[in-house]
Amino acid sequence: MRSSRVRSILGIFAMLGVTAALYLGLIWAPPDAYQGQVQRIMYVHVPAAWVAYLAFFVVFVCSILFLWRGSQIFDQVAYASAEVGVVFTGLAILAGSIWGKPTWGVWWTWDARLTTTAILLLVYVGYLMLRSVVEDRFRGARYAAVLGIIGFIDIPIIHKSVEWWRTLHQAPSVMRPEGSTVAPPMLFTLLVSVAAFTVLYLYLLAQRLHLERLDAEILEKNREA
Amino acid sequence: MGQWNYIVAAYLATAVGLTGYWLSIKRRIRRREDLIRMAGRDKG
Repeated sequence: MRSSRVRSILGIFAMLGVTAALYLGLIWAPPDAYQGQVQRIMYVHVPAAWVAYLAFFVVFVCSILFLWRGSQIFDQVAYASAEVGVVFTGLAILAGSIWGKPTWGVWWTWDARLTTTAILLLVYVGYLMLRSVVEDRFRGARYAAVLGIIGFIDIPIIHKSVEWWRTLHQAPSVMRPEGSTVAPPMLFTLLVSVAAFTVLYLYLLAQRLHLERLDAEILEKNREA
Repeated sequence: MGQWNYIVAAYLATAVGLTGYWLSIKRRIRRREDLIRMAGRDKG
Protein backbone atom coordinates (compact mmCIF):
# COMPACT_ATOMS: atom_id res chain seq x y z
CA MET A 1 0.00 0.00 0.00
CA ARG A 2 2.86 2.37 0.89
CA SER A 3 4.68 1.75 -2.40
CA SER A 4 1.46 2.43 -4.29
CA ARG A 5 1.22 5.82 -2.57
CA VAL A 6 4.87 6.60 -3.40
CA ARG A 7 4.19 5.76 -7.06
CA SER A 8 1.12 8.01 -7.10
CA ILE A 9 3.03 10.92 -5.53
CA LEU A 10 5.89 10.47 -8.01
CA GLY A 11 3.35 10.42 -10.86
CA ILE A 12 1.80 13.70 -9.71
CA PHE A 13 5.22 15.38 -9.36
CA ALA A 14 6.28 14.05 -12.78
CA MET A 15 3.14 15.44 -14.39
CA LEU A 16 3.59 18.86 -12.74
CA GLY A 17 7.27 18.94 -13.66
CA VAL A 18 6.67 18.01 -17.29
CA THR A 19 3.89 20.65 -17.56
CA ALA A 20 6.26 23.31 -16.19
CA ALA A 21 9.05 22.14 -18.52
CA LEU A 22 6.69 22.31 -21.53
CA TYR A 23 5.63 25.86 -20.65
CA LEU A 24 9.21 27.03 -20.10
CA GLY A 25 10.60 25.23 -23.16
CA LEU A 26 7.91 26.15 -25.67
CA ILE A 27 6.82 29.62 -24.46
CA TRP A 28 8.97 31.22 -21.76
CA ALA A 29 12.55 30.55 -22.93
CA PRO A 30 13.91 32.94 -25.57
CA PRO A 31 14.93 31.64 -29.02
CA ASP A 32 18.62 30.98 -29.64
CA ALA A 33 20.61 33.83 -31.26
CA TYR A 34 22.11 31.50 -33.93
CA GLN A 35 19.68 28.60 -34.35
CA GLY A 36 16.43 30.48 -33.73
CA GLN A 37 13.32 28.68 -32.44
CA VAL A 38 14.43 25.16 -33.39
CA GLN A 39 16.92 25.14 -30.48
CA ARG A 40 13.85 24.52 -28.22
CA ILE A 41 14.26 20.83 -29.11
CA MET A 42 17.23 20.90 -26.70
CA TYR A 43 14.74 20.93 -23.77
CA VAL A 44 13.60 17.38 -24.63
CA HIS A 45 16.75 16.03 -26.29
CA VAL A 46 19.24 16.80 -23.49
CA PRO A 47 16.99 15.67 -20.57
CA ALA A 48 16.18 12.41 -22.41
CA ALA A 49 19.91 11.77 -22.93
CA TRP A 50 20.63 12.64 -19.26
CA VAL A 51 17.96 10.20 -18.04
CA ALA A 52 19.40 7.50 -20.32
CA TYR A 53 22.83 8.00 -18.70
CA LEU A 54 21.26 7.93 -15.24
CA ALA A 55 19.23 4.81 -15.99
CA PHE A 56 22.28 2.91 -17.24
CA PHE A 57 24.32 4.11 -14.25
CA VAL A 58 21.64 2.54 -12.02
CA VAL A 59 21.92 -0.67 -14.11
CA PHE A 60 25.72 -0.56 -13.65
CA VAL A 61 25.59 -0.10 -9.86
CA CYS A 62 22.76 -2.62 -9.31
CA SER A 63 24.44 -5.20 -11.56
CA ILE A 64 27.63 -5.00 -9.49
CA LEU A 65 25.59 -5.30 -6.27
CA PHE A 66 23.63 -8.24 -7.69
CA LEU A 67 26.80 -10.14 -8.68
CA TRP A 68 28.35 -9.33 -5.32
CA ARG A 69 25.41 -9.93 -2.99
CA GLY A 70 23.12 -12.11 -5.13
CA SER A 71 20.04 -10.29 -3.85
CA GLN A 72 17.10 -10.35 -6.26
CA ILE A 73 16.07 -6.76 -5.58
CA PHE A 74 19.25 -5.42 -7.25
CA ASP A 75 18.54 -7.53 -10.31
CA GLN A 76 14.93 -6.30 -10.43
CA VAL A 77 16.01 -2.64 -10.23
CA ALA A 78 18.69 -3.19 -12.91
CA TYR A 79 16.21 -4.86 -15.27
CA ALA A 80 13.57 -2.17 -14.73
CA SER A 81 16.10 0.65 -15.18
CA ALA A 82 17.54 -0.91 -18.36
CA GLU A 83 14.11 -0.96 -20.00
CA VAL A 84 13.38 2.66 -19.04
CA GLY A 85 16.89 3.64 -20.21
CA VAL A 86 16.34 2.06 -23.62
CA VAL A 87 13.13 4.08 -24.07
CA PHE A 88 14.87 7.36 -23.15
CA THR A 89 17.90 6.58 -25.35
CA GLY A 90 15.60 5.93 -28.31
CA LEU A 91 13.77 9.21 -27.65
CA ALA A 92 17.05 11.16 -27.28
CA ILE A 93 18.20 9.79 -30.65
CA LEU A 94 14.82 10.54 -32.26
CA ALA A 95 14.61 14.13 -30.94
CA GLY A 96 18.27 14.66 -31.87
CA SER A 97 17.61 13.42 -35.38
CA ILE A 98 14.66 15.83 -35.78
CA TRP A 99 16.90 18.63 -34.48
CA GLY A 100 19.72 17.56 -36.81
CA LYS A 101 17.73 18.02 -40.02
CA PRO A 102 17.21 21.83 -39.82
CA THR A 103 20.62 22.52 -38.22
CA TRP A 104 22.97 20.08 -40.01
CA GLY A 105 20.85 19.36 -43.09
CA VAL A 106 20.71 15.60 -42.39
CA TRP A 107 18.54 13.35 -40.20
CA TRP A 108 21.49 11.11 -39.36
CA THR A 109 25.26 11.06 -39.81
CA TRP A 110 27.91 8.61 -38.58
CA ASP A 111 29.32 11.23 -36.24
CA ALA A 112 31.22 9.92 -33.16
CA ARG A 113 28.57 11.09 -30.64
CA LEU A 114 25.68 9.68 -32.67
CA THR A 115 27.43 6.40 -33.45
CA THR A 116 28.49 5.72 -29.84
CA THR A 117 24.92 6.53 -28.69
CA ALA A 118 23.50 4.11 -31.27
CA ILE A 119 25.93 1.47 -29.92
CA LEU A 120 24.65 2.18 -26.39
CA LEU A 121 21.09 1.60 -27.55
CA LEU A 122 22.05 -1.69 -29.24
CA VAL A 123 23.97 -2.92 -26.16
CA TYR A 124 20.99 -2.39 -23.86
CA VAL A 125 18.46 -3.75 -26.37
CA GLY A 126 20.77 -6.79 -26.33
CA TYR A 127 20.60 -6.75 -22.51
CA LEU A 128 16.79 -6.93 -22.63
CA MET A 129 16.85 -9.64 -25.32
CA LEU A 130 19.34 -11.69 -23.32
CA ARG A 131 16.99 -11.70 -20.35
CA SER A 132 14.08 -12.97 -22.40
CA VAL A 133 16.13 -15.59 -24.27
CA VAL A 134 17.87 -17.40 -21.36
CA GLU A 135 15.31 -19.72 -19.76
CA ASP A 136 17.00 -20.09 -16.37
CA ARG A 137 15.99 -16.80 -14.72
CA PHE A 138 18.95 -16.62 -12.33
CA ARG A 139 21.49 -17.47 -15.03
CA GLY A 140 19.93 -14.92 -17.40
CA ALA A 141 20.14 -12.30 -14.65
CA ARG A 142 23.85 -13.01 -14.12
CA TYR A 143 24.67 -12.83 -17.85
CA ALA A 144 22.68 -9.60 -18.14
CA ALA A 145 24.47 -8.13 -15.09
CA VAL A 146 27.84 -8.71 -16.80
CA LEU A 147 26.54 -7.04 -19.98
CA GLY A 148 25.05 -4.19 -17.92
CA ILE A 149 28.47 -3.50 -16.38
CA ILE A 150 30.43 -3.77 -19.64
CA GLY A 151 27.86 -1.70 -21.57
CA PHE A 152 28.25 1.21 -19.17
CA ILE A 153 31.83 1.73 -20.43
CA ASP A 154 30.25 3.32 -23.52
CA ILE A 155 28.81 6.25 -21.53
CA PRO A 156 32.11 8.04 -20.70
CA ILE A 157 33.12 7.40 -24.34
CA ILE A 158 29.88 9.07 -25.54
CA HIS A 159 30.46 11.99 -23.18
CA LYS A 160 34.08 12.48 -24.28
CA SER A 161 33.45 11.70 -27.99
CA VAL A 162 32.95 15.38 -28.89
CA GLU A 163 36.40 16.18 -27.44
CA TRP A 164 38.27 13.11 -28.68
CA TRP A 165 37.09 13.23 -32.31
CA ARG A 166 36.11 15.93 -34.81
CA THR A 167 32.33 15.79 -34.68
CA LEU A 168 29.31 17.55 -36.12
CA HIS A 169 27.69 17.34 -32.69
CA GLN A 170 28.41 20.40 -30.57
CA ALA A 171 30.81 20.31 -27.62
CA PRO A 172 29.37 20.44 -24.04
CA SER A 173 27.97 23.88 -23.21
CA VAL A 174 26.79 23.27 -19.62
CA MET A 175 29.14 20.71 -18.02
CA ARG A 176 32.40 22.50 -18.82
CA PRO A 177 35.32 23.13 -16.43
CA GLU A 178 35.24 26.84 -17.44
CA GLY A 179 31.52 27.10 -16.62
CA SER A 180 28.32 27.13 -18.67
CA THR A 181 28.06 29.16 -21.90
CA VAL A 182 24.24 28.94 -21.94
CA ALA A 183 22.21 32.13 -21.28
CA PRO A 184 20.61 32.11 -17.76
CA PRO A 185 16.92 31.80 -18.90
CA MET A 186 17.86 28.92 -21.22
CA LEU A 187 19.95 27.24 -18.51
CA PHE A 188 17.07 27.58 -16.03
CA THR A 189 14.64 26.00 -18.54
CA LEU A 190 17.10 23.20 -19.23
CA LEU A 191 17.59 22.49 -15.52
CA VAL A 192 13.82 22.41 -14.90
CA SER A 193 13.41 20.02 -17.86
CA VAL A 194 16.23 17.78 -16.58
CA ALA A 195 14.63 17.73 -13.10
CA ALA A 196 11.18 16.96 -14.57
CA PHE A 197 12.56 14.12 -16.71
CA THR A 198 14.46 12.75 -13.69
CA VAL A 199 11.23 12.59 -11.62
CA LEU A 200 9.49 11.01 -14.63
CA TYR A 201 12.28 8.42 -14.76
CA LEU A 202 11.81 7.67 -11.04
CA TYR A 203 8.06 7.28 -11.58
CA LEU A 204 8.49 4.93 -14.57
CA LEU A 205 11.18 3.00 -12.69
CA ALA A 206 8.86 2.56 -9.69
CA GLN A 207 6.04 1.35 -11.96
CA ARG A 208 8.36 -1.02 -13.83
CA LEU A 209 9.74 -2.32 -10.53
CA HIS A 210 6.20 -3.01 -9.33
CA LEU A 211 5.74 -5.10 -12.49
CA GLU A 212 8.93 -7.04 -11.65
CA ARG A 213 7.59 -7.75 -8.15
CA LEU A 214 4.29 -9.03 -9.56
CA ASP A 215 6.26 -11.31 -11.94
CA ALA A 216 8.26 -12.67 -9.00
CA GLU A 217 5.00 -13.25 -7.08
CA ILE A 218 3.49 -15.20 -10.01
CA LEU A 219 6.67 -17.26 -10.35
CA GLU A 220 6.57 -18.05 -6.64
CA LYS A 221 2.88 -19.07 -6.83
CA ASN A 222 3.61 -21.32 -9.84
CA ARG A 223 6.43 -22.97 -7.95
CA GLU A 224 4.15 -23.63 -4.97
CA ALA A 225 1.38 -25.10 -7.19
CA MET B 1 9.26 22.92 -43.41
CA GLY B 2 9.20 25.75 -40.86
CA GLN B 3 11.24 25.57 -37.66
CA TRP B 4 8.11 25.08 -35.54
CA ASN B 5 7.21 21.94 -37.51
CA TYR B 6 10.46 20.35 -36.31
CA ILE B 7 9.83 21.50 -32.73
CA VAL B 8 6.28 20.08 -32.73
CA ALA B 9 7.54 16.83 -34.29
CA ALA B 10 10.25 16.41 -31.62
CA TYR B 11 7.94 17.19 -28.68
CA LEU B 12 5.14 15.05 -30.11
CA ALA B 13 7.45 12.08 -30.75
CA THR B 14 8.72 12.31 -27.15
CA ALA B 15 5.19 12.62 -25.72
CA VAL B 16 3.86 9.71 -27.80
CA GLY B 17 6.89 7.54 -26.94
CA LEU B 18 6.66 8.18 -23.20
CA THR B 19 2.86 7.85 -23.04
CA GLY B 20 2.98 4.64 -25.06
CA TYR B 21 5.63 3.18 -22.77
CA TRP B 22 3.72 4.21 -19.64
CA LEU B 23 0.53 2.60 -20.99
CA SER B 24 2.44 -0.58 -21.85
CA ILE B 25 3.66 -0.85 -18.22
CA LYS B 26 0.12 -0.17 -16.94
CA ARG B 27 -1.30 -2.87 -19.23
CA ARG B 28 1.30 -5.43 -18.14
CA ILE B 29 0.66 -4.61 -14.44
CA ARG B 30 -3.10 -5.06 -14.95
CA ARG B 31 -2.57 -8.45 -16.63
CA ARG B 32 -0.32 -9.69 -13.80
CA GLU B 33 -2.77 -8.47 -11.14
CA ASP B 34 -5.61 -10.28 -12.93
CA LEU B 35 -3.51 -13.46 -13.02
CA ILE B 36 -2.74 -13.25 -9.29
CA ARG B 37 -6.41 -12.52 -8.50
CA MET B 38 -7.58 -15.48 -10.60
CA ALA B 39 -5.00 -17.80 -9.00
CA GLY B 40 -6.21 -16.68 -5.55
CA ARG B 41 -9.84 -17.34 -6.51
CA ASP B 42 -8.98 -20.84 -7.86
CA LYS B 43 -7.21 -21.67 -4.62
CA GLY B 44 -10.12 -20.40 -2.52
